[in-house]
Amino acid sequence: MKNELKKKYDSIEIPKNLSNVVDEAIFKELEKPKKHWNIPKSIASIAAVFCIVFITMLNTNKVFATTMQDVPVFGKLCRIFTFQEYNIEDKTKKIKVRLPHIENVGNTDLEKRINLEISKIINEEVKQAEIRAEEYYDAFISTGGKEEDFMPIEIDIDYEIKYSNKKYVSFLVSKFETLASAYQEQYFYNIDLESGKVFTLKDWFGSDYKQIVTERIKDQISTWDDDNKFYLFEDIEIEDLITTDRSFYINKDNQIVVVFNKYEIAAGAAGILEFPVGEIS
Amino acid sequence: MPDMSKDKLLTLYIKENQESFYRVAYSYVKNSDTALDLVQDAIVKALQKRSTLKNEDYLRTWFYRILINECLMYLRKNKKIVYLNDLEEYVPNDDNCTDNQYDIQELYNAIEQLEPNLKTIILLRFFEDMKLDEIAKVTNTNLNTVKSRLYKALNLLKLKVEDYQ
Repeated sequence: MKNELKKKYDSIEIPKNLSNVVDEAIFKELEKPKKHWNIPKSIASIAAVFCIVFITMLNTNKVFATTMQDVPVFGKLCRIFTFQEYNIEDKTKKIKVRLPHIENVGNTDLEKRINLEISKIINEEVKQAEIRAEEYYDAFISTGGKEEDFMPIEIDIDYEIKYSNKKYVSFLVSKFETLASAYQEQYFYNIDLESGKVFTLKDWFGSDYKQIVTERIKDQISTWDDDNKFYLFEDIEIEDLITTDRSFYINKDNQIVVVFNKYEIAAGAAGILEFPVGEIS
Repeated sequence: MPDMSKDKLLTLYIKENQESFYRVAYSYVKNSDTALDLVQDAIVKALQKRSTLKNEDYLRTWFYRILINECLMYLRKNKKIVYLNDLEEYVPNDDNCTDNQYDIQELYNAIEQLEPNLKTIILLRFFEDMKLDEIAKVTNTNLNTVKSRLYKALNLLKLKVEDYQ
């Protein structure tokens, strides 16, 4: 009878993505980059700063813009700068944000839309992270966990300018979270400054862009060794994923680099995958 | 032991036993997605705290302790679940059972209805084949507590202690 019970238990169905989830957790924890925090102690003052940022963003950025240091200038006018930088830290969380703003892309509507979108993304990420941290902490304490043993949830929101010249600017906003069940997320922006438009793979490669880009990605995969190929999902058609919304950026060598998030074409352990697919001139 | 091989050992152990972890988590929460989240959280937490694993002989009890803590924390947080102290309606009457044997399914259901502390003991003892002293390590209690919980659970399930110790 004991054996029969055990059989019943062993027949609990194992979900197909269990090993992905497990690999993901291991990969993230053992290979994540180490981070350093330099955060002021006063929570109240940080909260206050946070509120001010919130409100100010909705209005104007001129005051901040003129006081900013380290402002890269692209072409004649366009620039991306750190609009505000802030930290929120308490016993439940360590949140670090660098919020970028883009200015003078030659198209005011586009500029507004992008800045608003970035603000929205970041606000939402911070809000969600705070809620998660609070719940997690409460649960930890209420089940007898000691306050000093609690590992605060860490969120790092940052941006990176990948490429810039008179014609193009390419940058990304990224979120990195250390608690499980959330991953690194990246949002890419590529702007054609001459036309004042966001540019896509189709704009560059023409109407056959799907085939061209897919072929170049497949060529690269074919040179991989079996250890790397092992992670690829077999039932994914890369061509279906090459759309005008596909994430990509321009790197320092003028290459257009297509990006696949974790789980998009391969197991989580493979991480984010990048493929250079062409050069801009 | 250098950290590199400890990491390898941990990775190997986790990969080899992931299905067991999932079953344990699932037994508590009865929801596949939640169980996956809990397994993932437990792995992350274990790896973050790997320096606290001083003796690798205790890897198994150490990991299960983290996993079960995650599960119990989750249950506390989601208090909607009601546990029944009185299992009468879940355990069939002796009259209906030949040779005093329950229908396996009904007994299994009854185990699922046990309050978490008691369920933990049954899970680890019968399904994960742990010894009572190992269970004491996992649950951070002493051997006597484990024994008394085991008897209480068996009693609630109307099982004979001597058959299941």
